[in-house]
Amino acid sequence: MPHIELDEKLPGIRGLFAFRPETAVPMSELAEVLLHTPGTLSMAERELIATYVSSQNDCFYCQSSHGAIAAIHLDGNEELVRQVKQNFEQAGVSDKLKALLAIAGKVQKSGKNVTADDVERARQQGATDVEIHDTVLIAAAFCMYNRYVDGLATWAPQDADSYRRRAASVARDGYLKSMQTYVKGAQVAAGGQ
Amino acid sequence: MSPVAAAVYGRRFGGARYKIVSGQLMDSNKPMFLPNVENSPQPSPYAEGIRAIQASGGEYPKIWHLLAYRPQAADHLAAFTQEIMRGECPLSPGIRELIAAFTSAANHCPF
Repeated sequence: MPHIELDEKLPGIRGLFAFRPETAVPMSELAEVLLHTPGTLSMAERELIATYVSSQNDCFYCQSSHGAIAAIHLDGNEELVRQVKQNFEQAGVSDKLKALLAIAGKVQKSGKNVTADDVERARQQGATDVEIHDTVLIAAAFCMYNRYVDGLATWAPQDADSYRRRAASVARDGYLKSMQTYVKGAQVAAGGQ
Repeated sequence: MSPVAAAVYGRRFGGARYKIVSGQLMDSNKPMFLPNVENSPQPSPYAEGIRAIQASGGEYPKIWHLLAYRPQAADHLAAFTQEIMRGECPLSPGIRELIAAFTSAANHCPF
């Protein structure tokens, strides 16, 4: 049961977003920029980083929802998502993504754990500074989202199908539009993206 | 930093690990992992701020380079911070800053 009174129809971060639209907007906009805008890292890769960090933080709602979104970007390859969570070094992903996941895993424990060698490994595998920057910011932001969701003891559906259904619309429409479907009074500044 | 927040930091770290320089806690000024982040600020108020303070010879926190490097993300982070730290809430801004300072101290992030 959540520590505060939330709309019980809305699980995970959705109940929190509906509770506080003022913070829901910038948090959703940040997710949109980090995960759902065009970039040199594919949306699948960025969702895998978010999923991995959420699983390291043991956040069931976040790893399930972002894992499902990652799988949609991967044409339904849920097995790959499972591999990344279990042992990404052995998973069927690029060496560049493995190096970025290693950095994300360090950030999940402490930002200070990231070493120059970790960054050099990513560069050797062709990662650009923007990709390294965004990996660290995705990992840091998901530590925030994960702690937000678990720190208020939100509930999470247990059936995988409910995550698959919702993932389809988020993967298509993005985070901001999805949030606006259930948060009343989510004011997005004119010209906001 | 407010004197109260400085006191919280001081107590946490026993004043040993970080020295207080003109009211600010300074960590060693190591170079950033990504020189391009430092060297390619995008057009934004954050870049203006860096230019202005560099011109005046003042010190500034390196998080400014992160903000200037990805202003699209920084704008949302700033909006979020503004709302959660200064938006309408029964907790006073001072108490909210104290929570932020306490958490940052627990995370060993002196800035």
